[in-house]
Amino acid sequence: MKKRILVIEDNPMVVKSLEFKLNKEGYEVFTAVDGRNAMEQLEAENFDLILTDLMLPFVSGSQLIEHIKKQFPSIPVIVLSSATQENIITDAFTMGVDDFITKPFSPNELALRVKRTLGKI
Amino acid sequence: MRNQKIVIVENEARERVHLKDLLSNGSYDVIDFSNSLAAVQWIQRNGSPLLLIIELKSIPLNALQTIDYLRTELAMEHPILIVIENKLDPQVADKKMQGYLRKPYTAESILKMEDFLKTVSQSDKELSSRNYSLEYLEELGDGNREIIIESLILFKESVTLKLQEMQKRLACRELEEVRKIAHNIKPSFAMLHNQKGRELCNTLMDSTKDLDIPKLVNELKLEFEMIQSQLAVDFSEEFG
Repeated sequence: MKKRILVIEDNPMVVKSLEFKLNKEGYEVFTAVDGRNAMEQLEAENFDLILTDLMLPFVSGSQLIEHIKKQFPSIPVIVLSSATQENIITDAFTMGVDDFITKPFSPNELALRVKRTLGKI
Repeated sequence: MRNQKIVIVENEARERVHLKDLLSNGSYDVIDFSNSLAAVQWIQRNGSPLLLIIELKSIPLNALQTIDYLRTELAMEHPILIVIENKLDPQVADKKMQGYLRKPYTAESILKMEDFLKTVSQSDKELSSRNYSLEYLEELGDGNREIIIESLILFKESVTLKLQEMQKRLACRELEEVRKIAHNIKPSFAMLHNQKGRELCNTLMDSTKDLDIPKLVNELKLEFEMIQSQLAVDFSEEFG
């Protein structure tokens, strides 16, 4: 059975590239363009992994991660970050995220990190 | 083969002398014209210059007509900076444009020109007039042309909308929202290896003073328009 990944990201080019690469790697990909929609999908569906940006409309990345870690503690989280967000990334790790990838991600690095994170489950 | 001259085409005598002085003080070899056709004839006789700096409203051919003539009729390619007034002129962006300078000419103009020349010299001749690279999308697509075209269409559509939103937010002085939009579109420029767009987004996001934001937004719009112009040339079926 395919692993299910929720991508929470509001840049359509990044979403497209993630979908393309992750589908190619054999994962089932779901997308949410803001934190509110992500929360709705999390309530309705089961996911094996979450990839999320930290600056999202309606719900901040920190709030979203806090929510995920509280309500769905078994789902690993990889943060999609910008290179200039060191402080935010540090905070995210403090909240328990599993890894981070800098946008735009290297396609092969993404595949490796996703595989590694899912392998920990 | 390029000669080492910088060719200036500038209508106003005072401005022309001022720019020539600035360049000459920087040890550049300069030849100046008030007339674009005379400049074309000089280039035809002497070969491509190191750089052509041409005012948008040059006469008798304006900058865009001159560029078309040099590229299409004479098949001559060399770095070109167009000089624009402070106001963003949409017709400039409709054409293939590598870079621009703004009046009045100052020492900063020379630094900008030098940065431009450095960028150009880093690229090979084939790529020197391009504002983007498909390297990343090709790596992602691994031979799949469809994903490249779809990504380019997404780039055009999504960044157009975001820049429009950015302009509206700027008009309402909602600068935090402007910064958020810069964060959103930065990866789009990065995915096309457009370093300038990426850096402008970074500056907008993190370190700029509020007063600088309108100028940076304008620069970002111009950079985006230059990428679009290049895409229209390279992918005429999809973007022409």
